[in-house]
Amino acid sequence: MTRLRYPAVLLAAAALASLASDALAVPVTVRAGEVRLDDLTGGTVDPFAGDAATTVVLFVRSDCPISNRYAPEVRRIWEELAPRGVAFWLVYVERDASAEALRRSTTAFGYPFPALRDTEHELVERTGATVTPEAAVFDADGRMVYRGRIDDRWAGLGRPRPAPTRHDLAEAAAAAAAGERLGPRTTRAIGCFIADLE
Amino acid sequence: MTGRRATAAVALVVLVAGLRPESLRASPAPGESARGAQGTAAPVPPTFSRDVAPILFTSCVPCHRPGGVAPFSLLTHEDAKRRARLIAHVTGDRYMPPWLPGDADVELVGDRRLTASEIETLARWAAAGAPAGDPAELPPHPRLVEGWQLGEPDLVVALDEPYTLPADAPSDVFHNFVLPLPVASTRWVRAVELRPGNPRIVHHAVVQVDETRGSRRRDDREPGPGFSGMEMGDSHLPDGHLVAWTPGRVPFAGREGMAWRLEPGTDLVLQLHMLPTGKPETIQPRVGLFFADEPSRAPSFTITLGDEEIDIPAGARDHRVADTFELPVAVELYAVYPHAHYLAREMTVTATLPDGRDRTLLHIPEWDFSWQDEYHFVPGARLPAGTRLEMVYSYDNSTENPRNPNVPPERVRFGYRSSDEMAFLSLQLIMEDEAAREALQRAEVEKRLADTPSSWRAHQAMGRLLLDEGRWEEAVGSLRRAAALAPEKPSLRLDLGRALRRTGREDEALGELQRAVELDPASADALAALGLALEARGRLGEAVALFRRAVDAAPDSAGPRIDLGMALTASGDLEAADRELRRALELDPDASFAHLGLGRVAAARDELPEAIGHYRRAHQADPDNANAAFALGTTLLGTGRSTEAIEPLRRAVAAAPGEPEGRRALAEALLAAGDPAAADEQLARAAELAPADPAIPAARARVAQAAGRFAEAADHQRRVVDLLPGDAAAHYNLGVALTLAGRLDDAIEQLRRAVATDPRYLDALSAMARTLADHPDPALRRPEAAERLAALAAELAGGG
Repeated sequence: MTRLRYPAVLLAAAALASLASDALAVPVTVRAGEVRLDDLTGGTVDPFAGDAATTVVLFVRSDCPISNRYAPEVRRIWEELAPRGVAFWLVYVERDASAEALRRSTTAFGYPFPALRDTEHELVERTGATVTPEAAVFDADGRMVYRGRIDDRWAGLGRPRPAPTRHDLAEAAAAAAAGERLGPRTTRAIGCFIADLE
Repeated sequence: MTGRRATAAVALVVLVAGLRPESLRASPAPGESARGAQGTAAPVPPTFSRDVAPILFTSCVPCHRPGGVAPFSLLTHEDAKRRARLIAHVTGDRYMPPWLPGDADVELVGDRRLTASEIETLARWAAAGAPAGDPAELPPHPRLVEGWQLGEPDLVVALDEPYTLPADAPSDVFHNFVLPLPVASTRWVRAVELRPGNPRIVHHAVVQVDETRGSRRRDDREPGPGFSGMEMGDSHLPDGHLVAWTPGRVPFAGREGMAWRLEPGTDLVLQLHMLPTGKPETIQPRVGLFFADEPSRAPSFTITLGDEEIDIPAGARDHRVADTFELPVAVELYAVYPHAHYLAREMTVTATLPDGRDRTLLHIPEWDFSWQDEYHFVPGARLPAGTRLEMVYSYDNSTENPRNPNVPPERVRFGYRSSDEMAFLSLQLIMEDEAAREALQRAEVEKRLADTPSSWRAHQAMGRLLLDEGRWEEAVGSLRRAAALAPEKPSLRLDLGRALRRTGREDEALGELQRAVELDPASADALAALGLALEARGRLGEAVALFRRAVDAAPDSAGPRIDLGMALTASGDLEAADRELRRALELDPDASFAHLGLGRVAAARDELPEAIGHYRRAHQADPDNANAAFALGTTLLGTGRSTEAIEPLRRAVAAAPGEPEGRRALAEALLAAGDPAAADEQLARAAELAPADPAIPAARARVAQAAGRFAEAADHQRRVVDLLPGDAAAHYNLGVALTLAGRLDDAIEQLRRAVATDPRYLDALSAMARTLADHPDPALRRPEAAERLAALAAELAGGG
């Protein structure tokens, strides 16, 4: 049987409308007391309750290869910015993994900051995150100033750059920690689709 | 359009299978037959069980399964659902399944591409929310072979200690592991399979071999197992075979008659291309080798097209690198390995046939270095002699290319680092016969030399080719040019030394070989070659010392031990020789020269039956070993077994037609066996080869005399006398021959000279006179001559 060999990208594109980088039409603000997430030890945590000047939320998935490969880079960013008062939260978006399995993953990949779970995708929806890994940066007033990729290492799935040329997350978090008032910015993150977990 | 095709396909299936059309319509292909039949009906959403699982099981699950090489499983609906959009995305842009080649005019083995309708099905399934469907419709789980995919290997080698890939390694890591291959004798390898040990990180593997110890030394210079980098050191393609491994692809099982030769003492060099996962990963790969029962029969050769002078300006969007090669002989395409780094974008390989038609052999629309691979052609892709092959690679050195290692872009030139660029195309071809292989090899070397006249490697390749062809003087010329370009390359000094020895320039050869040893004191080849050169000059003690060093440098190789054993035999140390040769036989039981050496040891101890046994084994192990055949034949001859001697001596003559000694020995055996005509034929050829050797006309005289051709015998004896003037025996023999030929006056003159030179011939003369008087053979009875010779004898006796 002869094979029909032409790309079917048009059809695939329909399913991927969520990939497109969108402008942040409505400003997002998350205040203390609005969101409570499970941690990995049976408790619940409000990541916005503290007095951090800047909060970084990093949506990850323990079974997402791109998410996992970013662990060393995430650690570097944390080492750079945690001393400047930036609070980091790892947020697992999968619904079905056990807390034990996620604890093991956190240890294996060496994440140095606390991990939470967003099983109801509450924070996912508030921020508009669509893939893992994707980050959101909030200023002291709970205003989301950045949402998107960690850096531009991945130009697309299967298209990594040898090294990133833009360090979007670190720049946004550093600016927020320095008290710069920036307009909200979004970038397109590359990774595993959170919608696949619905 | 799609609908019409589907309908036609259904009709065909019906015709073939004899099914009723209704039974097929009961389970329409999603959106195809349903839409095609109804025209306006809404497409039925695909389900996992009915539509998606068959695609995943065939094309994805071989890697994406529990414990598989891919980072996640797609075996169950639950697994696939949580990646549905991802699946649609990566299949839609053909990133998955990983398969770089697009359409071409020849087919490749194991094409992994999905069809357009399969891709469409996956997209529509994701868009519909990834429904499970009816579990009853699930196809059976694919048969997944655990462990070795090709069965139990004949030889498994593994890394001694694990290698650790750091969590934050750069995106591509290239590391080369050196694995000694413990084979005791020559083997033929038909397939190679890799079990990476940690399937997650290995992206691609290339296998080469190294008979020198160069790769081991490189390994020793770096801490931990292996050595890093894309360049694979001193290793090379095994017998010109492209051997690679890619996760998830069933390893190439080989093809009848296409095995490669593996000699004892060879190291396997395994290059792994690895990707970090985000945490430290250890790896301890195992390599399985599968042997063929029979040696490879089809001659094959790998040609390389490419450019070593790439120079891509910064910002260039479509920089083209091209090369061409005209096939001097008809070939069949066997395998192809395209190679470039991160800037390459598109690759096209075209064949222009002698009649002007073009055939696309390979087209890679979007090159991805990470998924580089080697491909085998489906058997039967033939190209006639005179076909012009052309490769065109396009490079994107702009910011548009996300893989560009330089931001901002920089000028990039040829080199082995990942930030340099390359442009190579290796094509493994099968030829009709050995002559065609040689023609192709010569054409390739000539092309390399024309393309890169300043490359020492090209000149060396030409020099080696000329050596193979027996064109020693020209080989010396090529190798001298190579050595002038790269004076410090030990392999060039070695080649040059060997070539010079062939031309008889032993002094110069000795100088080159000494230089080779100075430049690489651990090269067993260089040490042994220098030893042989010294041995040939009679400097046996020095030769033995060098052979000992060669043995130390390559303790698992039989070759240097055999050289050592031979030299020890020649120097009379039979016990030590025996020990080394037996050890060589343990390493390589089929080593013909080791048996030959043991035969020489036995012969030196006067143990002739044992010597014959060893020589016979040497001859059986390699019937083309002229030395073994000659030793067996002459020893049999010497012990009176002349009939048995004929076969090995014939082989000796066939293997070394230019050696007069073999022909002389064969003639002797033939004569003893009662075939004087065949004997004389050999002697006539021997006389042409060694016109100054008096033993040959002497033998010819015996043959002629035995046949009663006395005049001819006298002519041959005259030739002996010409070569040995003043030799009493020569004059005496000529005298006898002339007597029998009836030329008594001439005979008397010669006999006088013989007795004058050596008085002992007087007795011989008297004896001959008596014999001639009443010889039992009437043909040899010469009563009148007997009278005159008796008178001569009396005269000479009186005078003396």
